[in-house]
Amino acid sequence: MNRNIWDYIGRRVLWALLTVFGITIINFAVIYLVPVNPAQVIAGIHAPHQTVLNIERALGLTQPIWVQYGIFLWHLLHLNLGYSYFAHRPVMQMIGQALPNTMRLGVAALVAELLIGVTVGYIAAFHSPGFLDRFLSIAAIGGMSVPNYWLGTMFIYLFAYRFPIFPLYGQGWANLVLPALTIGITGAAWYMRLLRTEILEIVHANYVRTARAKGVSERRVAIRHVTRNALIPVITLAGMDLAGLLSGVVIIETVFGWPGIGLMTWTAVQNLDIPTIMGVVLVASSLIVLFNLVVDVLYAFLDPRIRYD
Amino acid sequence: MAEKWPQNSNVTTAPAAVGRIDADRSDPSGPSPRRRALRRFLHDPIALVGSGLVFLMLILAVLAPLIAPYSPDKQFARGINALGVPVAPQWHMPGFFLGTDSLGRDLLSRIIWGARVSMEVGLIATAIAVSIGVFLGLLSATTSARWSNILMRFVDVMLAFPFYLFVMLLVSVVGHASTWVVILVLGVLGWPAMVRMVRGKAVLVREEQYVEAAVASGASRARIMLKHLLPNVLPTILVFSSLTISTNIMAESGLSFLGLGVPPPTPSWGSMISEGLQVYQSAPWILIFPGLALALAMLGFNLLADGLNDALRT
Repeated sequence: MNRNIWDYIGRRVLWALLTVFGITIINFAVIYLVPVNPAQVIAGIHAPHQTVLNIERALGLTQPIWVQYGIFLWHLLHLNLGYSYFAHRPVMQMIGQALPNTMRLGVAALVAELLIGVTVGYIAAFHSPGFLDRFLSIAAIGGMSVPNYWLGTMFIYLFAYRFPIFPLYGQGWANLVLPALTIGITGAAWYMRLLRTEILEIVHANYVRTARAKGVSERRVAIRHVTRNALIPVITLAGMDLAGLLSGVVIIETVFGWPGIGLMTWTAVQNLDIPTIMGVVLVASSLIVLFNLVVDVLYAFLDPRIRYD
Repeated sequence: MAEKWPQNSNVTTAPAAVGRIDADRSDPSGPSPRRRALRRFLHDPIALVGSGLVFLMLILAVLAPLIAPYSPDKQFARGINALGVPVAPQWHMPGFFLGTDSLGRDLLSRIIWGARVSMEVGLIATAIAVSIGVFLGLLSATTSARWSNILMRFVDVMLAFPFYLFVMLLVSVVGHASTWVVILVLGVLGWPAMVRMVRGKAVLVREEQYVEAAVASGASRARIMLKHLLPNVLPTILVFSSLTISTNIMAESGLSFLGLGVPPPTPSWGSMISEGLQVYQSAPWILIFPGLALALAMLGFNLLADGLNDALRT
């Protein structure tokens, strides 16, 4: 059994590494298709031809593509993502500065999602079937249908301008409330639906019936047997969700001027700053792979059935 | 590939098919499953509201030139007041029913025309993603384990890319934004999720006895994919497509909001909201109404998906 789980984790880690390798290939291939000459971008449009050629040589752009990819991979192994064309700083350093901000926003947003989603899902499930359940279920579809960045702009209009409760454009905790709520409200619907479905399924499970038959109190059944088990998939979803949130909520960060990696990428796109965009995409997708790995490994410890897959 | 048994005889499909329908049917002489799904759909208020909203959006998109009171690009001198502020919504006609934007254009007309871009991108991008996804999903369910594994690993890699960041990368690589670039990028990025979904369902169906019987009787792979797997996966495809349309509408508007989507002066709800964010202090209606239109369109497809899901019991 123990051997089994380590086998599984080993395979899973190997697979994650392969995925990251695949990501670097696709990322590199996409960049290679750029019709823009990076040397020209660095030198400026009016730079003399010789300057452009020199920069090309310095960047190694004159080499064959597999050599370029090799160099890129070699740098990557040393955590070197190259220099931003625009900010003239190492991309790794820029990401290092922006990522903590994104993390703060991501965690705050996740907390908001869970608070709203789990509460509403719980209420709906324990009032099912009935009017309240039906109403909340429809409201959840409504929540999924509101574009989050528009909700964000409306929050800015309402709670920062019309009724100036929250500050705009800053990096304090108070600035975190509106963007986190924006993501929380639109994202909560998924948690609500998931938790509701899970609870309704578990309520009819044999072990719950057994517990009731044994005379366990309703309260204890609801907490120990139903809620505990129903929360497992919710936690899985949260893990994957957090990976997505950490990889940058691009539009929300742009709307609120929150200096995370999303806003950084948007600025980079405006300036055609290819190394920065590429670096962020690489780091973000690696984070997603890492989080999925962590969730899977935790699961293997929690749920014995998975190890035999 | 030659079949051992006659093409259209029911020998290969009948036994298991009957078994499935019977299991699903309380009264064997009652209406067919398709009929009952339709009846459930028509009796579900959520499904009907969803279909109504979707229908409304399609009508707006197709008949925009006839419905819109003005041309979406026409800048009215009376659409901007002396202080340079857009005109607020006017509840009388002929006027600017939802007000004007900061260039003095009629907001209602632009919102109606905006439905066209949204529907175009939503439907075509989803069609691309679904076609590729369904084909590869079915292929992966019927091909050898080795090829199927390679394909699914590739899907894993594609799914690891953060959507918006990757779209930004692609759009900036292409160098210029246009409706077709957005459609292609969303279509090409949308298929991996579809493959996973279709494959998951198809693999289950593949284990059914009637499919095994078809394989044993020498049915070609194409026949198994189209005749046996596809009809069983279709409900899932329908529900997922409806959800994907909603996601794609949101993605298009989001990209346009960031200035990476549909370029001006083409009216897109996303770029209108972006403009609204610039002037919300003096003209909040530019922020409010395009967002409402967007939310209604997404709501329509989400409710439709929910209704389809209930009716088809996927």
